Amino acid sequence: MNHPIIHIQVSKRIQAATSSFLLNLNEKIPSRKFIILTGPSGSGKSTLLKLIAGLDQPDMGYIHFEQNLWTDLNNHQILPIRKRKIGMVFQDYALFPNMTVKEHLLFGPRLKKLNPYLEEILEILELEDFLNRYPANLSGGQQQRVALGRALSNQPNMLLLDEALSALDTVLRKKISSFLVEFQKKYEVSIILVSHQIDEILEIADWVCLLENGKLVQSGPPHLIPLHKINTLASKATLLKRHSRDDGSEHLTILVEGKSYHLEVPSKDLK
Amino acid sequence: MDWEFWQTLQLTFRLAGLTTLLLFLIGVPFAFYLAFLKSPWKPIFESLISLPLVLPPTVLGFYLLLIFNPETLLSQWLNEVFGVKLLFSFPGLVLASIIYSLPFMVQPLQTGFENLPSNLAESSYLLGKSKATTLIKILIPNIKPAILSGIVLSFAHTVGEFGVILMIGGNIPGVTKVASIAIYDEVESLNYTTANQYALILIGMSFIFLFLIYFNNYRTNRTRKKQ
Repeated sequence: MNHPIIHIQVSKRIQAATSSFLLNLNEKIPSRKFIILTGPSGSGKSTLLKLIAGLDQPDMGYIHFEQNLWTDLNNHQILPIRKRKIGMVFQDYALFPNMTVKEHLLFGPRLKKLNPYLEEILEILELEDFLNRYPANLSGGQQQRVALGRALSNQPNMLLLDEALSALDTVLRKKISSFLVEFQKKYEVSIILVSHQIDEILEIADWVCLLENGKLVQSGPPHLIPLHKINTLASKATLLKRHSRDDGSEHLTILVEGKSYHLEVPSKDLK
Repeated sequence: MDWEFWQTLQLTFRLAGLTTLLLFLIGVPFAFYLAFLKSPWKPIFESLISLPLVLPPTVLGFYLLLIFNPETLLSQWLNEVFGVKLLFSFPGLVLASIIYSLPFMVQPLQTGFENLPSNLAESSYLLGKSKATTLIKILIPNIKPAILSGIVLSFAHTVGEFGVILMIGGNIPGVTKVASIAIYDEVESLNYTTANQYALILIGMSFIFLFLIYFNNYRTNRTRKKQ
């Protein structure tokens, strides 16, 4: 059986501050995987997340999530946002100022009190001590964790995280990214995380999409990202070891920001 | 101060209270719709709602007089079905006041909704909530200062109504005679003492209402600065 996919074939003109560019994609990416969407600022990453969530509409095209049609501008069909079962963390968190941390988590699933699932989320996100606090009385990192907890509260089919770990310190960031990897595997949810962190891209992603000026220039497993693309994402990678295989492909060991990673270069990509 | 004096004041506040309550119930969905409307028709709707702000009250009163005329289809239908007469009656005053004070409720609420970050509502929709739930649970609780402004302005504006009421309500004690009409009436009868009593009460009340708005703004700004 083929692996379920998200098929995105969209076109949208994005108006930036001084210029405009065309977000133009026709890509099949695996669903129920941990996908990292990366690329320079202003390349259309947040817009793409909004198109997937249904918060914005493409000028034309369609978005299929597995067997379900979410958006089809060609046939004027748009599945309402609330029927997509998506959890999303916005860059600015978008917390409800009138709700406490606890109320944020109870609001989605319409619960009166916390259940074991929500308690587990609160514990992992280290929010148990702030249950009755309002967003105004939380730090940036705490607010980001509440936004993540709220997005997880409804047990979504898809999680869209727009730089959702950016305000966290390194230790907490590692802990929560490990939890998200486990969560993705346990509930088979599709996660799309916008990130610029090379360690996240190479360590936790099942699939990496690199967006530049509205075009998807790379889409595949992280170990297949070409070395010159890694150099555009991080400080220059150092090649530690090159191993040629019998089938003509190569195995590279590289050093990026003090850590070593492995890359594969298929024979067809070798000159 | 005789019984009619208190009856007039009571009628004034009953009219203002009922108008404000109905305006709030009508104004919230109106303002919500306008705030999130992305259509070239939006300025037309906004202009129509804001018309009472710039029109002389007599213009509005004149057209309402024509519409409320017992011979129109609307008046006949209302009379036959509900037994309601609009001309020179309290229900007519309420309806006219709602139209006259509509922008005073809708504009602050619309501004309140428009000033909220758009992804606040989007976050609620993503959690599976309907527009109605989002409005009641998320948006309304976060525009409290705008709601207070809308309520206070609508109430005070209705209390101060004169031209429209005179044209469609006349001056029937206990039915359509409100404080602003009573002042005019008393001055015409050279009864300055009673006119002064009405006027002082209206001045005091208007000050309290305006103070409530500005105090509320002051407190909101202070809380924002602290955050």
